[in-house]
Amino acid sequence: MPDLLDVKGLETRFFTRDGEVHAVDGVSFRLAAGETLGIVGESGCGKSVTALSLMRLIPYPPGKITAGTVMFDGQDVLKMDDDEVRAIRGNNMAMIFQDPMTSLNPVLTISRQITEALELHLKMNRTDARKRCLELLEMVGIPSAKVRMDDYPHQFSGGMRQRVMIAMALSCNPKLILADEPTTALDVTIQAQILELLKKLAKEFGTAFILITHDLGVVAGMTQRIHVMYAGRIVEKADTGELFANPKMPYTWGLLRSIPRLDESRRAKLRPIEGLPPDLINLPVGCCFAARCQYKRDVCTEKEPELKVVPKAKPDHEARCWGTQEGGWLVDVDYRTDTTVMAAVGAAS
Amino acid sequence: MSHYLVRRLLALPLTLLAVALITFALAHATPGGPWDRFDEKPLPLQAEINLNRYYGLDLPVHEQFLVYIGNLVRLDLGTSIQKGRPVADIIGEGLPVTAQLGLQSLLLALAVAIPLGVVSALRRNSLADHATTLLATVGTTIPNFVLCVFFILYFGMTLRLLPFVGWGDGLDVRRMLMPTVILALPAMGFLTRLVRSSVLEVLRADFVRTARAKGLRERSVLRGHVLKNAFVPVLTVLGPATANLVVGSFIVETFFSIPGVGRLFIQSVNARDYPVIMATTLLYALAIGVANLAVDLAYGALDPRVKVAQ
Repeated sequence: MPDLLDVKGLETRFFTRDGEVHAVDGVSFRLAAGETLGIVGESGCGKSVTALSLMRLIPYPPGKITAGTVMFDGQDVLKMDDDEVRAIRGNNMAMIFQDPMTSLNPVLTISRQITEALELHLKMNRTDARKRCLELLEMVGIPSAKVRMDDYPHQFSGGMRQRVMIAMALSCNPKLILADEPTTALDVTIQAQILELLKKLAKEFGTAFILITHDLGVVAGMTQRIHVMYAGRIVEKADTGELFANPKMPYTWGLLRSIPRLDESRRAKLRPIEGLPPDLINLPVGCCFAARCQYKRDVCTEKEPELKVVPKAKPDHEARCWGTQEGGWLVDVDYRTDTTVMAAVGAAS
Repeated sequence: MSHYLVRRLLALPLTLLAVALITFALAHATPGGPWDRFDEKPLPLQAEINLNRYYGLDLPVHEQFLVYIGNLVRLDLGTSIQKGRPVADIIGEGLPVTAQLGLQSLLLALAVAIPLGVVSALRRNSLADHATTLLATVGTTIPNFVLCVFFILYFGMTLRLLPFVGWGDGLDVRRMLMPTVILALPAMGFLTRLVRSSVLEVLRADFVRTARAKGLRERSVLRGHVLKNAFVPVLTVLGPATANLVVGSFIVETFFSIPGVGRLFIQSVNARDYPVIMATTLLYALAIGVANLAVDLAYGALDPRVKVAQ
C-alpha cells in the first residue's frame, strides 16, 4: 500500500529584511494511511511551518516553499494549481490550530463555520449541512448541541472551541489531520480530554494525524511514531516507545532530561538545555545542535551529519548525530546513567 | 437591549443641557453684542435699551439662561436678533440643504473609501496601494478652505466648467458637485486609510487562516470572514463623521454661498445672534448624540460580542 503522505526535501524560507530565514530545511518523512505521527521540538524549530507548508498555507510574501515534494494521495501538493489545493484543504487534509480563542471567526455562528466546508466540498444543501453539523458537534461532545450550534464562539469556553475546531476538521472525513499544538492554549485537565477525543475519533474514522507539539508528554500516549525537529530539520525519527526508551540524539536526551520527575527530591533543579537554538538566517557549519551539545567533538562543527539509521536500536530508528552513528563515540552511552560526561562538563564549567 | 436604549435616550437631554449651558456662557462671555455697528453710526442709547428689553437681554445672564431653557422645553427656539424671524423657521430652511450636502458627501466618501481601502490592503505595497495612500494623505491634509479656493478658481473661474454659487433646488448635480466632493475628500482619505489598516489587521487574524484551511476561495474568505470584521472599527468613526458632515460644513457652505446651517452658524457668531448660536450648536450636539447612538446600536448587529456586553 502506498504512503498517504510522502514528504521529500521540503524547504520553506521566509524572505525578511534581515535575510533569508531557513524555517524548514530539507525535511523528509512519510506517513501511511491511518497512521499517527508526532512532531516534537521547541518553539521556532519549524514544526508549524512544516504543517502549514503541507497545506500550502504559508503566507507569501514573506514565506515561500523553495524546494521539495509533498506527495499526498499520489499527487504532489506543491505542483497543484490553486483550485486543486483548495479542493484538498479542509476536505482530504484538515488542520486544527493552536489557539481556539482566535481561530474561530467571532462574528459568525459556530454552525455557519462548520457548514461552510460541508457546502463547499460535499456540495450539501443548507438543511443537510446543518444536520451533519449537529451530528459532528454531538460527536465531539458539545452538550445540548442543538441549542448551542447557533451560538457565537465567544459563548463557548476554550475547550469547547477546540472541540468545535476538531468537529470542523473532521467534517469532510479527511484522510489526514494536522493538529498544530491543539492543546497548548488549554488547561491541563482539558488538554487530556481533547487529546483523548482526537485519538478516539481518528481511530474511529481511520484518519491519519500528525500531532505537532513542544510537549513530549503530549505525544507519548498519542502517536505511533515521533520525529524530533531542531533548527528546521528532523534530527531523530523513531517509534514512540523506542524514542523514550532508547533515544539516540543528544538533543532528544536534553529534552527528556529537562522533564521534571515526580520521584526526584524537591531540591533537584530543572535541567534545561543550555544556550539557544541557532540563528536560522546564518546557520552554523556542521551540526546545528553542536553549539549546545555536551558531547561534541571537532567533526561536529566541521560537517553536518546526515539522518541515518543508528546501531544498537530498532531498525527504523534514525538520528542526525556523528556520535551515535556507526563507529561514533556515543553508541554505547546511555544518557540516563552517563555520569562521566556530565561530571566532566560540571568540572569544566 | 431596550433597557440600554432607554438609558441612552435619557442621557441625551442631559448632554444637550450641558452643551446649552457651556455655549450660552461662552456666547455671552464673548465681548461685543448684537447691537455693535462698525460700519455705521452707533445706535442711540435709548434704542439699545429698548431692544435689549424686547429680546430679554436686560435680565441677568443666569435668568436669561433659565428663560431660554424654559422656552426650549416648549420647543420654542426664540427669534433671530439679526433677521427678526423665528429661529425654527431659519433652521428649517437651512437644515435640509445641509443634511443633503452632508449625506451626499458621506455616501460619496464611503463609496470611494471602502473599495479603495480593501484593494489597497489586498495589494499591499503595490503601485495602486502607494497611489491610494498618497491620495488619501492629500485628501486628509489639505484644508477645506484651500480646496474651496482652488476648486472655485480653477474649475469655476478659469475653466468655467461648473457653477460655484448657491445650491439651487437640491437637484442640480453640476451645482452640487464641487461642494459635495470637497466636503467628502477629508472623510474619504481618512476612511480609506482606516479601511485599509482594518482589513490588513483582519487578514492576519488566525480565523482567516482557518477559513483558508477550509479550502474557501480567496473571494469567499474576503466576503464571508474579513469584511464584516474589518468594518467594526470603521463603524466607530462613522458616528462622529456623519454628524460632522451633516452639520459641520461651515467652510464649504460659506465659500459656495450655500444657504445651509453651517453658513448660518458662522453668520450668527459674527452677529452675536444668541438664539441662532444656541440653536445651531444644540443641533450639532443632537446630531452627534443621535449618530453615536445609531452606531452603538449598529455594533450589536455587526458584532455578536457586543450584545452581551450591553
